[in-house]
Amino acid sequence: MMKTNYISLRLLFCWLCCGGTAALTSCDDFLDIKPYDRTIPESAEDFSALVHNMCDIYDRGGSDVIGDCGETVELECVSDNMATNLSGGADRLPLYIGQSLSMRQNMYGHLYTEIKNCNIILGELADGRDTREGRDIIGTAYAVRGVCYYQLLRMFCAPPLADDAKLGVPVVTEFDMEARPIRSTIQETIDQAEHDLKAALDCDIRNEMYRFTPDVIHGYLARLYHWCGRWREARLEAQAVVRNHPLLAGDDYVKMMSTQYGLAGNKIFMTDRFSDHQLNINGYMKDLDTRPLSASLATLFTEGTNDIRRKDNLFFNRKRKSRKLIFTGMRSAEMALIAMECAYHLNMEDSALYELNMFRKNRITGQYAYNLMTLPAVDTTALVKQDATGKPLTPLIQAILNERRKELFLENGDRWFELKRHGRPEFWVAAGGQKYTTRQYMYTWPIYLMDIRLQPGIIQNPGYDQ
Amino acid sequence: MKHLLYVVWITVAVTCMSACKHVDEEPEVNSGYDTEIPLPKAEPMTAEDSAVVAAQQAEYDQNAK
Repeated sequence: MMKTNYISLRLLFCWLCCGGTAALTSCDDFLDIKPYDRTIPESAEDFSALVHNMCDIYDRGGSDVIGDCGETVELECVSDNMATNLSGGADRLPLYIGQSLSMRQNMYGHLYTEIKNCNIILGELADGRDTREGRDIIGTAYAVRGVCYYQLLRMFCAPPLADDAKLGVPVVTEFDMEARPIRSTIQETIDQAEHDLKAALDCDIRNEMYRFTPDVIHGYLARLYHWCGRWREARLEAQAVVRNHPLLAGDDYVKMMSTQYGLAGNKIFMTDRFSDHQLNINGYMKDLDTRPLSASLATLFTEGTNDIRRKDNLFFNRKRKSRKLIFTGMRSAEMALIAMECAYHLNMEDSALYELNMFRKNRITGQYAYNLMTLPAVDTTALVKQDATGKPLTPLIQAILNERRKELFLENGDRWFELKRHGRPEFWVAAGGQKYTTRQYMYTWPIYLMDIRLQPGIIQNPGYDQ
Repeated sequence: MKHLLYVVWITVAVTCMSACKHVDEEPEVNSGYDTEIPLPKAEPMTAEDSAVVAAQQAEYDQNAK
């Protein structure tokens, strides 16, 4: 009897041990955080909703892919277009780029989140890929991914024509949460942006709801080639856009520049499209009232009110307070300026000068035309002392760059990136008895610190490695 | 009794060796690390710097007011 009980107990114990072992070892993925197939969209409607949501965010501002009025104002204020020393830091506007570098590393993460969304669309959309809607969705995903790589290139890499331009950013083209890619070469990043924008062009997006119509993509290709110093290609792309959206003059120009919402005139693409951002924009406009334009910018408008941008205070008033509407997007004036700069770098000086004069004709009444003898001499006191290739400025390229500086004031933070493209000059601003210097390395923003920690192979940009 | 000990040891060994598949299986820790970018300190302004700011103010007062 005792022996039977002992055997039963032993059997029970063995069963308990086996049961315990099975319970403790049968599930090996309870800590897995990868959403295996559970959050991936499936139908074309799901993907369409995802793309429309992305475009809606671009329309309303608040995305690092396109930027918005807040980013435009911030970059304008940390460039040399505003007289920061005269406001003495007493306003809400940033003093210099250093203040926002910690925040700017997050833009790196935001851009890769957008790239991830595009990769999901490009990798997972199977049904209806060749339908009109499918092509629009795929084209938009390629366009957004291309724009993201273009932005990463401008923000987190050295200027491509600079001697220290070697490292690009990690190129990610598939959705794989386990992947840990390291930084590519700068050429590989450029190639990826170009590939994506051209793939988007092949999709020939026709529905304007998707925003990245062929003109917009040609515009981004022009920007990409221009940034990389591929002058011939940049010029062709920019000219294609200007052909479809000719420059405006007179009342048409004033009307376009005075229209806050919607694609007025030859605006091709824009964010902050809707009036629900009015309060936000008004707030920034009010903030700008506390900081006048810098003398170096204001004095470039030498024609006074003969220049339509100065007439009726269209751009700024007598006290050099900004009156121009903040613009984040793309208009054909930028393309015309890209085309003429490219002509200069391609040694087509006559074309460059002709196009500069045509541009000025649309803005200035009276004596607008330059010839090689009447071009203003190079200003040796100016912050920018070299062209994009590192050569000293000549009167012609200086005139082209000055025209760009005037026209694109308060647009896309253009001046900040122009300083980056033209030698990354150091300059300082004063506040509270202290001097804050924009160092050369600060033009290339820091790679997201969390990525540096999680991916040991990723190299931080110079200046931030301590 | 000996058999019971064998069973216990085998159970413990199997449990220990198979419960954790990868040592880095847990979600990565994202807190407790610096996320702030270190920056050079601002420098005190010199008399020369103050003169530059004063000249800018004078230019503005003369031409923009």
